[in-house]
Amino acid sequence: MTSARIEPPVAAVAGHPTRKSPWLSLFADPVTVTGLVLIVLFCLMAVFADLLAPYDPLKQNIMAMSRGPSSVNWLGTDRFGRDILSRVIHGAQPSLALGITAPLLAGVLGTAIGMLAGYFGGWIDRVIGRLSDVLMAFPSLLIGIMIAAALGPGFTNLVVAIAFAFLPRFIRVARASTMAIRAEPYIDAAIASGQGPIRILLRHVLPNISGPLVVVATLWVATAIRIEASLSFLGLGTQPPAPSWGNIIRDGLTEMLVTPWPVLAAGLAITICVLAFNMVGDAIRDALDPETRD
Amino acid sequence: MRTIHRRQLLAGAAAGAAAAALPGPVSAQNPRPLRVAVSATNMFSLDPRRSVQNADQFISRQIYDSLMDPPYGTFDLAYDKVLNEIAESWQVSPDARTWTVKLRRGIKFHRNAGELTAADVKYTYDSMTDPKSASTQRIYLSDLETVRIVDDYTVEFLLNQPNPTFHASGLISIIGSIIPRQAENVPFETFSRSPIGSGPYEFVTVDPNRGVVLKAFDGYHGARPKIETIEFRYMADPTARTLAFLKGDLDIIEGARLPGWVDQLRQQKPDTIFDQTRPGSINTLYFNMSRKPFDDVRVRRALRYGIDREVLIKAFGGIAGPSWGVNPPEFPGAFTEKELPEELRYYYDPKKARALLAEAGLGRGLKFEIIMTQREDYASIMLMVQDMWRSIGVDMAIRTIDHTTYHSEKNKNVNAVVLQSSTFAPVETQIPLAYFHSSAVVKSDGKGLNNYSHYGVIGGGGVDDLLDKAQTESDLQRRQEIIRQAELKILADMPAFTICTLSFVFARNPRLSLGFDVKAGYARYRLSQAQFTA
Repeated sequence: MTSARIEPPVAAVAGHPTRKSPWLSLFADPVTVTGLVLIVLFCLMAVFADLLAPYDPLKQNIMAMSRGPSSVNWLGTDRFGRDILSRVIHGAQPSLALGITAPLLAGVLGTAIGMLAGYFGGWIDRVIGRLSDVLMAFPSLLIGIMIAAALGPGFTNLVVAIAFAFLPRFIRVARASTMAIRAEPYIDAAIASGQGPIRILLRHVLPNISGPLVVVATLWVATAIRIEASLSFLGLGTQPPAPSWGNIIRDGLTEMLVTPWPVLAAGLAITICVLAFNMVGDAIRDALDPETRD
Repeated sequence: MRTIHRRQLLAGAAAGAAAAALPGPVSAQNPRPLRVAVSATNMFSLDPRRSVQNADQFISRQIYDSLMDPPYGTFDLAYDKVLNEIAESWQVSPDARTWTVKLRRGIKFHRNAGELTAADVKYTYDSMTDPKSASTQRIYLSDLETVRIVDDYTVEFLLNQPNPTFHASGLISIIGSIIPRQAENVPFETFSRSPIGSGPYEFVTVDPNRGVVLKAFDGYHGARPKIETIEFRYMADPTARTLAFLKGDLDIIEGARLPGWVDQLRQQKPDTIFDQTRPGSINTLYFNMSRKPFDDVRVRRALRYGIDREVLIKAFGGIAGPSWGVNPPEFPGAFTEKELPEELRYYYDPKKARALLAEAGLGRGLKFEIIMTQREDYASIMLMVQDMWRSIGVDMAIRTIDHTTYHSEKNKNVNAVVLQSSTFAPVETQIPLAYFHSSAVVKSDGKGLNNYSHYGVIGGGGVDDLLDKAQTESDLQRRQEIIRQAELKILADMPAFTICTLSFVFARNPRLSLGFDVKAGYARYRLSQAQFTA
């Protein structure tokens, strides 16, 4: 095949002998490393929740309602006597599962749609562009609420709702990047060599636009976690009795006067997790941004 | 542009200074308005004929006088105890089919809407029973044939069957509130937002900051209220209400019917007075017998045995109570624990529950999903039930939806297990008829009533007959006896049961006296005798 000779210059640039891989520079910054460590810790917490949690997060104990922290319940109990620490640990599961799957789904769909629009242009671009403009006009939380309210609560519905809210962001980035790549001579060369559009998109365009898309995805993970918490807080997200950080705060509000621990613990978990993803997202953006790289 | 801005600013500042100097509307007698927070997002209707939410009814109770009412703070419906408001006196015919009410003379409506006479009473009831009026009270007046004007101050209520407790369903509180007949020409929307009654307080305004504002009515026929102004705030969030109460911004708040709420507020503000009604709402758990496996009596009994009611009641910390029969112990003729045969008391027995499930072929467990409202009292009960059932191998998944949607969905026969909370006047026939008679069966199109079990349509032979017989019985003693027979049958068949009663709770500023103690009744009371003490 002739295509091997007109491979895009991605590999050449990345492997430039005088430049370190941008990914390596991530580990140079202590802030980024802290973020990464935190993310790993949260992921481990979610995966091994059953082993880490001292109690069953659903088991009620009416004899120990709304207790403060003690040696038995480190973060106290809620109004049904459930252990807060166990609930916060288990609450990481829906938050992270959703925080990762929703941007992933939006990323895959949005990239595909955005590449089509950017590559073909014309009426396809105009239709897709206008539709994503319409979606962009709504804040993502609002779209999330509208869809979750229409479909009803539940994990799958929530993933769909948040992915849909994120979709136009990915379409935009993929479209703009594809349009820039589309003008490159090697694309013309690929077309001249008789490759089909799908192959060109997958082999020549996608690798070259993946950088900005990874940045967008990382940053939106944090937002997805925040939206999940907001929707659960509103009762549209994770359903009781299953714990999620958002619904722990929602339930905790009514007993804040007596024990602020549920609200504090879940609030802190959200804050730290979102912060960690943002720190890492920023670092990836810096690493992949050609302006700052040179 | 700039000058206008400055002027506005100056005017605002002046108004602010004035407001700061004179807190609230001023009267020489009592400068402080009484502030009440009710649990609802906003006002729906202050027209008692179309009222749907208790928050509005609490306000309406101040604006309208009712024909009669149980003595304030009670639900005592004994003929010799009932308090007359608009009525001067009343009597029941021996066959309990004609109720004659004599009206007080000289009762004035607010805003110079004239004197209250028999024609206003007839107009009020006619407009409620008119199918076109879409009155929410019409179902309670199904036995009212017609209202007859005898003279200007006497009316007769003619019933289509004997009802010795017609006053309970038709003449007290919200349903007995009389509306001036001039309202006939006023559109519903207008009247419900600018109501005219004959009660101790008249409507002033509704605004987003102060809520509904009422002021004492100068022409009231009874004793003039001691507090000049009342402001009713609509605050749906219990935490917001509680915090505002703790800050001292509110004098009365509708409590949150959540486990531990009363104790927690008491810890923060030990001198708070809690006004609590008994029994409050009746919380009934239905098994939908049109669905498998709930058509099997063993499954229903197993689920009943799987509920530890004592724990549930304890969790609510003094606002919940048991009910052994269909009617709670506070109702006349209701069963006490000891009066019931041992096997119908359904003491908590998880072993027996598991055995019954195994017998019904569900030894490996049972799994189903229900929808449930987010409202705190419903959700708390259901979360506890869910946890208790989990330990007998029953996995009930809950999908929560908002309260209004829940009510419309459950009326469409979508749930396998339904929780319903309602308040009833202490009349022995009301709950059995509303919940267990086949004519009240729920329908998929939403046009049915509150029999979510399909009892009487599926199983329950003979109970309809007993309930019908009770309704035509004019002797109260015999009526109670028939209802008790029906209750025994219902308890054995277990189509539904009262999981607990739940008091309505109001937290009150200790410096505010109501003039009576709250012991029972609907979730609202009169504020006409309220006053601040030193």
